[in-house]
Amino acid sequence: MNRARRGTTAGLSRRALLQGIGFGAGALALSACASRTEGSSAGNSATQGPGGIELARPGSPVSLPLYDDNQAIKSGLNPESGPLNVYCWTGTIPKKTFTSFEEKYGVEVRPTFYGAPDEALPKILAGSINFDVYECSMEQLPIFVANKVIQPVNHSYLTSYKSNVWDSLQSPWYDADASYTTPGSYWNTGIAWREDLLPDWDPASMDNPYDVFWELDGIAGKVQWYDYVRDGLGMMMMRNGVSDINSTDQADLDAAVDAFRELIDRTRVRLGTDAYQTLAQGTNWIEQAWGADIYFAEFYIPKEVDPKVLKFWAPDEGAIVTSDTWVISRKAKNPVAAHLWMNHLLEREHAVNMVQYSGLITPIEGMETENVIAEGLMSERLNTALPSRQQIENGVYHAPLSKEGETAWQNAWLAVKSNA
Amino acid sequence: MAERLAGREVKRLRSRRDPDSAYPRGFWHALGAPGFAWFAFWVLVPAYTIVAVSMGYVSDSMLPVPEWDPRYWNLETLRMVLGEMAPGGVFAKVVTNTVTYVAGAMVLCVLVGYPVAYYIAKQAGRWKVLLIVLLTIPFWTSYLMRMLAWIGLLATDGYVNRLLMGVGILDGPYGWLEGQSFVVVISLAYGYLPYFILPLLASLDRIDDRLIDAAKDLGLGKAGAFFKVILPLSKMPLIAACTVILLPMCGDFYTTTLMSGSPATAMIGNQIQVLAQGGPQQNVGASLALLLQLTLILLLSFYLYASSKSNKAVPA
Repeated sequence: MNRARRGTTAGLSRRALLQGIGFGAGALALSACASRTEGSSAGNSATQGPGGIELARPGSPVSLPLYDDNQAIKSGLNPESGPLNVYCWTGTIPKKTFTSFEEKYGVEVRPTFYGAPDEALPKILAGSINFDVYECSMEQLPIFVANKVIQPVNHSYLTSYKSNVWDSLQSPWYDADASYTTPGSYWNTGIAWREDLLPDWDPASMDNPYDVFWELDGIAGKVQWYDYVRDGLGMMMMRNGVSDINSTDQADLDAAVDAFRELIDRTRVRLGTDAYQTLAQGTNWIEQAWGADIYFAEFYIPKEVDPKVLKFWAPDEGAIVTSDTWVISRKAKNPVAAHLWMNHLLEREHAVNMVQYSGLITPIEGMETENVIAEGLMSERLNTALPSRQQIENGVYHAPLSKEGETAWQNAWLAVKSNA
Repeated sequence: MAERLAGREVKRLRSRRDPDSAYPRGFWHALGAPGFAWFAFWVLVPAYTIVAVSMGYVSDSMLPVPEWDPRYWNLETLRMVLGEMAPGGVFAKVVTNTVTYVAGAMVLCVLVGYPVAYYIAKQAGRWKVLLIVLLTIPFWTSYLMRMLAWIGLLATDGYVNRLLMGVGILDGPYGWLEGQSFVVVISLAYGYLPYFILPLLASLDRIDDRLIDAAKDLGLGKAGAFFKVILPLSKMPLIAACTVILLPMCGDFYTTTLMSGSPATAMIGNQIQVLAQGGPQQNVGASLALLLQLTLILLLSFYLYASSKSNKAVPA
């Protein structure tokens, strides 16, 4: 008994405790005696991203730099045996697309899914994920190019690009020569609501429909916005009349945070990523949403409710439009198969699968929203939820930011999420 | 005869003095070594990594650059985060929320969990085993699943609203999941209650019943025996049980995300999640996590010290 009490289990004395605290304090004191220069290449201007790459905007396209030690693969190579590791959003690529690729090229596809590009970025940069081809957000492109994480593409394998993709995207603003990317799918961001629960609201009745969250009465506890920094603050800027949703002007960001504070006080707005579900179930009546959420919501809506009550609005001009791109890992073990995969995604068969599976538009000829609806591929009531070609070509986009810009945005988002 | 008895006594004493003599030298150290190595690798290394990221910086490519060498630690980020936790700072509200919600949930756990644990430990009689089995039922499903089940119950058209409207307490559905602080507190208490009760139950079960009998023999009534004997002896088990739930509750982010989702009810864990997931301020996220850890370590140290002092106070 005595022996036990003298042992380690019961022997934490005041001295031992102070020794433990002293060790930590000693380490901190040690740090005060030495200094080392940070390896950061600070000094980026507001117009430059990682590696000094100019920040692309729809009005000022940027050619991403090519490096001698990071070349595209040679032409005329045979596809590897696979398996092809595809790293992509959860729930965006239909199973049919995977199987049709496997059948066509005899290469097994092994998908790994991420919940959001922000989640994928650190994993890729840390080298902890093994992939051949990745569904990359536009904002991340300069980071991957500067770090030589992705390799340029060889267009001789991408025959569908030139023949199928819309002219406006043959040389996209985020990658002016399409040196590293092929286009992914497009969606719009706007306002979704339940017409049966808010029968009197019509966006056409307002000069600035984004104001609805601040003007409509009786919606406290029934409002949700996206829990993504760029979507959340971006639409808040639009509401405030700032058309550049990539602004890093502190006044714009502060105004967006203030508007959010007001919204929190007024409606106890929720931040979430399940807009399709909460709207369908009536938990929320009005939300910031992606157009595709309206399509998904149909699968969650109670049987007794007509899906026609699910409504979506985004402006024809200057709508917030988002898209991902496809890129190939510099360390890809199957680079030829990766090219073929990207080419496969630009064919009509996949584009049809894609819009019917996830409500996203692939920007290839014949897959414009009006054609998709006219051909009966999607319901007429999704007309506003699917991004039109006009919206895609004249939309505003979340574009890459400098490190300082990212920091300013993240601080603003923290202030929103802390209700500070 | 006397010699023979004396011999037996000597043999018994020798056995008591050296109970481990049957094992080879170093046996216990060898037995514990793999566990310690596992602990060191999977607990201490990640913990040190958080420190190193906090003391380092983030490159222009948004990659955290940890500073492993304590001589070059940069305390600026830590200092900045500490400043932002003060009133008016960006983290002040979440610190207040976290302290308030965790304190509220702990009070609820004590109010609900202590009587349950005490009843099972001392009063349940032949039902004791069954009740302990019932207590483990929450562990059959994950914490997340239990919270999701609550969402179903508390939804606008959920069973709770239906019941309350059915009996006439509510005229219309109440928005339980619409950013209500008290729902977060109740949910935290609900989620962590099993983790509170089980260690408390184990400790209360070890309180010697003869002490209670002695108190009664000495003239104390049932209430007197409880307040003068059982409650003082429950102090350390209560602190231990509170410690068990305090640590995970302080870092919790998914309870408030699921049960509220409103920034008005955000906790420190939510901010760590935002910052640590990526972006230009992963060192800020690591600093926030580090400060949370240091606070909890201080509280844990107090518990260990108090526990050690309490053990010494028990007569041999």
